[in-house]
Amino acid sequence: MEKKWHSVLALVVVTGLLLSACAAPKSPAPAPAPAPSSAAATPAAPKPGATREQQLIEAIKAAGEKEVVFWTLSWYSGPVEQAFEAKYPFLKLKAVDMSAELEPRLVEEYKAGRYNPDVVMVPLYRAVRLQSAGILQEYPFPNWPNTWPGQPKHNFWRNTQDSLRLPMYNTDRVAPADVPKSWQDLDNAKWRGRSIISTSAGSWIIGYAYELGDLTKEGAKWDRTVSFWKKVVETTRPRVGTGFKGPLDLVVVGDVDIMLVSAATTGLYNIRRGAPVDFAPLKTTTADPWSVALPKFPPHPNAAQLLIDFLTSEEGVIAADIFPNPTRHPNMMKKAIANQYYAGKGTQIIYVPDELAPEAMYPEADNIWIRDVIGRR
Amino acid sequence: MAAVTRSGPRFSFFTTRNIILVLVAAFVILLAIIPLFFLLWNSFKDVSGGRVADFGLGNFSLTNFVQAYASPQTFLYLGNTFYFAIGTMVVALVFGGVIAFLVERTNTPLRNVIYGLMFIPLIMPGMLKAIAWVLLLSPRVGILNKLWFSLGFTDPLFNAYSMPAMWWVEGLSMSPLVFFMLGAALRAMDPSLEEAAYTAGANRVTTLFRVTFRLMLPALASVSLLMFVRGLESLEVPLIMGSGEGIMVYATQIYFALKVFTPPKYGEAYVFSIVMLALAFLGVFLYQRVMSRSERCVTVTGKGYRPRLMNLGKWRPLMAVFVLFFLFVAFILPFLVLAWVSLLPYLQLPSAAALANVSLKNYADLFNRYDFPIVMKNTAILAAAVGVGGMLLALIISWMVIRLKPKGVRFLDTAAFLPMAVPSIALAFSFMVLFLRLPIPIYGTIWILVLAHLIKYLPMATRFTHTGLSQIHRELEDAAASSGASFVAVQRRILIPLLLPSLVSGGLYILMLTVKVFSIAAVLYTPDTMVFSVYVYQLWDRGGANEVGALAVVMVVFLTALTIVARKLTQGRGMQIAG
Repeated sequence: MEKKWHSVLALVVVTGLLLSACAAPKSPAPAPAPAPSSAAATPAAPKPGATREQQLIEAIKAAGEKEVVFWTLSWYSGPVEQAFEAKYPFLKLKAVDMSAELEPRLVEEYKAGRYNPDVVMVPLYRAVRLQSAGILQEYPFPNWPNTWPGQPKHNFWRNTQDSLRLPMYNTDRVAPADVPKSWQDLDNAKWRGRSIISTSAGSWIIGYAYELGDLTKEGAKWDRTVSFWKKVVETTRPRVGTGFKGPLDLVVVGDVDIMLVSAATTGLYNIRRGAPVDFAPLKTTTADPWSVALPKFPPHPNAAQLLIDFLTSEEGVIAADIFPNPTRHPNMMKKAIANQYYAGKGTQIIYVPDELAPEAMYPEADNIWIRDVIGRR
Repeated sequence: MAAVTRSGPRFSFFTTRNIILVLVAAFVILLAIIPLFFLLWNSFKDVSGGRVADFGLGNFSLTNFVQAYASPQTFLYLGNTFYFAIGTMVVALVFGGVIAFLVERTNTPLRNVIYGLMFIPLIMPGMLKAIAWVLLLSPRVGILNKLWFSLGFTDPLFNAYSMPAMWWVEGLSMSPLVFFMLGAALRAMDPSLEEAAYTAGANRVTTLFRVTFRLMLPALASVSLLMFVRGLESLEVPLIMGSGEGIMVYATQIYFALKVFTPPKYGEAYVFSIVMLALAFLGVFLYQRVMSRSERCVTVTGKGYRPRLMNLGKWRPLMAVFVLFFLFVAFILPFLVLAWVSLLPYLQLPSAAALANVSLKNYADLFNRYDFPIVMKNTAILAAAVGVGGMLLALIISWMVIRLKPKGVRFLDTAAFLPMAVPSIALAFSFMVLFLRLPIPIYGTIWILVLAHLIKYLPMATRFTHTGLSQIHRELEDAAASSGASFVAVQRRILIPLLLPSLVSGGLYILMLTVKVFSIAAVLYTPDTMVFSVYVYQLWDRGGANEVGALAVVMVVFLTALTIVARKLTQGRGMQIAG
């Protein structure tokens, strides 16, 4: 009996393995399979005199679209979700947190023709990677022309806002006279044993390299940038954290006094709740762009366009403005709370010219920080 | 103890029993081997540029191994990993083992309370638990160090950012597993053997070491192995308490490779995982050698059985103090920190000023969220399916491994154990790649989450059932079978009732892990199948520790109630019914 038992089991297992091997994706990835629905980039059957928004709404109702799936970072989606659903109550905005784990998932689902994003909004370096994977499609972005400053020449995405990086300190533990006024002030032994640095920095270091003159039309050298930050790390010997929330919590609670490079979003969240932390009022800081894009084959193509148009409208900018990423919308830059907040601190945001920082530089910049500055390999 | 000859089953292959056994074995082997195959195959492939996997037949290389091991630091991290896992295992065994013995075999007070409270640390999100301990042990602002300073000392007593602190926190976190597994084994042990030792003149210490410990050897080996492998895979404590000061272990290396680098270094992560797998293989080998002798440790036979409690006598108050101390430092203190955090708008240490900020706003915000009920419903389905399904699956596997012992059974046993050493994220990716392409419509549903968690936690479930089953003699089943009971009837009417406490403990344990652990759900969830662990992460990402604290307190209260109810329902059942 045992022989037969084993034969049957072996047969089942081998069949299963063969099945899974057949199911495995080939490499390099094949052309994407057709998605569940068409990817019309413009609403169908325009009615004479109807606005683009009205046409989209009619198309949504005609196609029976009830939801729109928005892949972005979760802290961003909340306020947008509320404002969008209030304006378009016939649509449910479903947010998917595009954390690091989900990016490869998106690519794999796309290859299998079984993915669901209607709209993505991510840091620029991730948009570059999604485009390399063939996921993004061009879209006219009627509310946000690429002739505006800081926009790509193509139509795969728009850079709508910027994530900022600034030192954050504990106001109970750092005397006003000691608060850094420039990045150079961080290179000081008084911070030894009192500071923390995060492995996460995004592509922010591009902006710092621009400020130091490491970016030229001939290319990026990084020498001065890396040697400055390595010196800061050697001088201060900071504790090393990951992400932005955890390290800043240690500043909030007083376990360390200063986070050398903090994300503005996390910082402002704590300030608004009354935590004893503040940004160091540097004269300048640089911008790390965030991009909104339309994937190919969105399952709800009309709702996707409606959401993109909303995000790129002045109304959408206001909805997202309760969080502290300054907008790049030229009509809103002076009005937006986030922009005003930094201007009020005396901090000027420096934008890196496209010709000095090609898009391909962004995905690599993050690694320079981790590998060459923090020393993790 | 009665010696029973294994009666050869009547030859008839297509019986209900064989069909169930083949299907279960195939299911387990397939789903357990797939992530292993995924990991091994892709560790030899150049999966750079953010690709998760490459299943082409070319492009094999050792690049990932070279990159991972080119740095001498890697070997330092290997040492740290081993050191951390061993230290954690020792702390967990000491605390979990002693408490299990006191609760199950003595008349120590508060036994039911302890049982309920032992589940608390399992549900506390790992990230918050580590932060809670930082707030307690930080050399600068830690509450315990501040108390120490108030006594006039200037140097801190504790250092949260050190290896001993990591052992302490992780070891205490794991002690519930030791408690439940050893507790189940201790409950199943026939005290007449110990009583015989006393009758023969042995004192308590001699009896403990020469009878009790020997009988417990399979369970101890099983638990030690689990603790060691869990120590290898533990992430949050080394990440928050160790990596900042350069105490890196393999789990943090994998985390850095996958989460910090752009694009993620999948190849290197797979290679690091293979070292963990190799250590796990070694553990399984050693464990199986111990288990092969488990027949000697059978204590529950068909001849009647009733466990009795040891009277602690004058030691009872002292043991009660020990248990209370343990409960306080292991659970109550971190839980109080968590509860405190949940009442505040941002992270603060206790003070008069902080007291003015206390409110229930985080709870109100949580209950007002439209997606909270959806998350709870999905979590309940997932947890119940994994808890119940996992233990039934584990029971059948254990029955095959311990009772049927067909040729190659070690392969099945090993296959059922290996997912434990496969990093959750690699397991999740392998399921994603597979089910995206198979014509089985579970991708994007709650059921793919159920499957992935079932396989991931099957090793733990089988440790509970292996331990329980190895202590029940087969003569009970043989007697039932010879009376005409079917395979299903034997399982339903004899084994399941006898093993009920073990099944409930194991079910609750894997249920808790399923609810809490983030990595698998993070890769496989959709907005419609959002579960607690992903929700915790998103709340954390949107806000901070405070809202998550509120959510964690709600879950701790709910799950504590669940465990107390489960305990009440199974009290007085299980092995005792055989008596």
